[in-house]
Amino acid sequence: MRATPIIRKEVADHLSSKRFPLLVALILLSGLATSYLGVQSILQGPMRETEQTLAFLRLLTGGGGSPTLSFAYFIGLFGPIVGIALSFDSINREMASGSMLKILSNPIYRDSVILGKIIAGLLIILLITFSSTGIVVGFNMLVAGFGPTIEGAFRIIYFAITSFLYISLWFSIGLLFSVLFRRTTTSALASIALWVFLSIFFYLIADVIAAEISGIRYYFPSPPITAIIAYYELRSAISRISPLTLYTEVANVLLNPEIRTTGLFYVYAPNLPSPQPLNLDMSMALAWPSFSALIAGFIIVLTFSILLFLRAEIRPSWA
Amino acid sequence: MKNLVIKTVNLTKKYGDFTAVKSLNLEIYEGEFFCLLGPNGAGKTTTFLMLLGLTRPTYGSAWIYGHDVTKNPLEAKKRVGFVPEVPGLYDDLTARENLVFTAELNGVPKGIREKRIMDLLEKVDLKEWADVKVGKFSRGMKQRLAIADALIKEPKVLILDEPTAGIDPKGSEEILSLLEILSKNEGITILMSSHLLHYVERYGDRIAIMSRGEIVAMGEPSSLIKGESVIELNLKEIDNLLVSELGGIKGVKEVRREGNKIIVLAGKDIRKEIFEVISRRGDKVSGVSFAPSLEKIYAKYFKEEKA
Repeated sequence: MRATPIIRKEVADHLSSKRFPLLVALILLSGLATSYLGVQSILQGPMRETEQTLAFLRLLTGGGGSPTLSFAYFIGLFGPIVGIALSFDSINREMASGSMLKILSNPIYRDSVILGKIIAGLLIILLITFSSTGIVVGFNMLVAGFGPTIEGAFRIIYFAITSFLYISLWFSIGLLFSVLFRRTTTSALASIALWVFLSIFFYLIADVIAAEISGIRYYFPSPPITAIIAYYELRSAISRISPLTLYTEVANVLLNPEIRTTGLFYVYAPNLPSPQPLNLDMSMALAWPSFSALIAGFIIVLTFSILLFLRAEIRPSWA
Repeated sequence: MKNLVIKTVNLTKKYGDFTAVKSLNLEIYEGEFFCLLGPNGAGKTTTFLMLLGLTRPTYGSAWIYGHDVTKNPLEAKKRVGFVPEVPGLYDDLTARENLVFTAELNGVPKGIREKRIMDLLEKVDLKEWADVKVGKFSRGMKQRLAIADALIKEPKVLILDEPTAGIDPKGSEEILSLLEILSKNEGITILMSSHLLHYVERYGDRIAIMSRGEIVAMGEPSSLIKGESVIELNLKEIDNLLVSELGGIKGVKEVRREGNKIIVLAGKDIRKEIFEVISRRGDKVSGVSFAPSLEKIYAKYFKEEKA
């Protein structure tokens, strides 16, 4: 496969770049700091064995006694930066420097070039997510003095896979802008603007749209329960357009077996036994719609990037 | 008869309403040093991009060693080395690492890779710089390394887009001498675009002048020179007899007197005949200038283009 030299070069470039240690440090330090605070808060009170198992997982997601700013929170926040930083200039920088012209004047297909870049980027993301998750989990075990159960370990592995997918989605967005825009500054700004929009402002927009469509404000000050439910369900559905919502849902469900729904309501009858934590299969089933939406988003954006690159007019920037 | 290496038939490229290359018909033969002349926007780079299969022609076809560049670009690219105007080398890699990367892209076997790289670096006089990062290279050194980079696949054709742009005369001379060696000694067909008329005239076996996407003149430098020539003579004294004698030389179209200068326009190179007349008469010449005809032809087309 002629993409191998490109993969090798890209991986070497990423690993030797100044960006790489900064990105790893960003994820790792925030993860370690929040874990340490979480462990301290957990160890303050006595715990039953079942609580201990759940508490270890909660160290990664926050809530239930651990600090709000958790490892999963920081991946949700900084993961896009990692993905964008690895891809925002991968195509347009090579176009501007003339190296893309040089590469493509050799007997190599265009798809090998972009696939080489994608594979290299994904390998780096895999390295960052799994190594930082492993280090944070190891640190938690060391400080807390206890570790996850086998099922808990699998939950953490699935969480790492979800983090990989989430960062990869942002990698593909950065790549798309790198193909679309000739200037690296434009692609960087466009990627960051989209990240800020989808991670912060989109929730405000989702709120306004949901309020308008559900008509909740026309019933003010005492709207009927049906309007309230419609409003919350709409807001929740719209906010799922943001990858951060999808990622947070999957991370929370995987790392907190007590979560029984990603929606607002859980139907429960009083004569049923008290709810037990979900097993891994049930949590997976619950997280699956959001997880598959992340996969779909990643594949769609990546496909667009590849198609645009294959159809792009390769011209020297100086001609 | 030499083999046909590059052939284009009605090769055309349009960007919307703008025609970058218009019905280009070229035939370039094995071992030829073929030069394309033209101002920016004449369509030279677009022609090269189409020959490399990087840009799809709107109409027409191109073949390299019989391989259609649009239908079978990989086979064509196996035989062509390309040196862009900006070499596109990686500044953070050494000269050797850059060549290793290109060798890997071309599937050069590991066993012979190192020797081939060192041989090429020696050929372009960069052997001592093999392990120096390219970011520290001068423009001329980068261009020579780019030529080595293009040669790594042992191509039969070398396409060079303004290889001497931004390089001092000594560096340009070195690059063109290297290309001449590759063409004459190794039989590599060279297709080069350049603005340096005097070099093109000296090194090119054939020249094509492009203007607005079309070839407006093509042939051997000597045949293009036949068209026009201008000789300026600075004399201490000028008499009417000299003017009429010069006007009597075969091929002279016009003799003009401007102060102490005589300007002779001719349909061919008549320098020898003019000097015979002057030396016979014993006129004292303080200066002579011969406007290269190619330059005149080039200027003529571009003047038309500007108008």
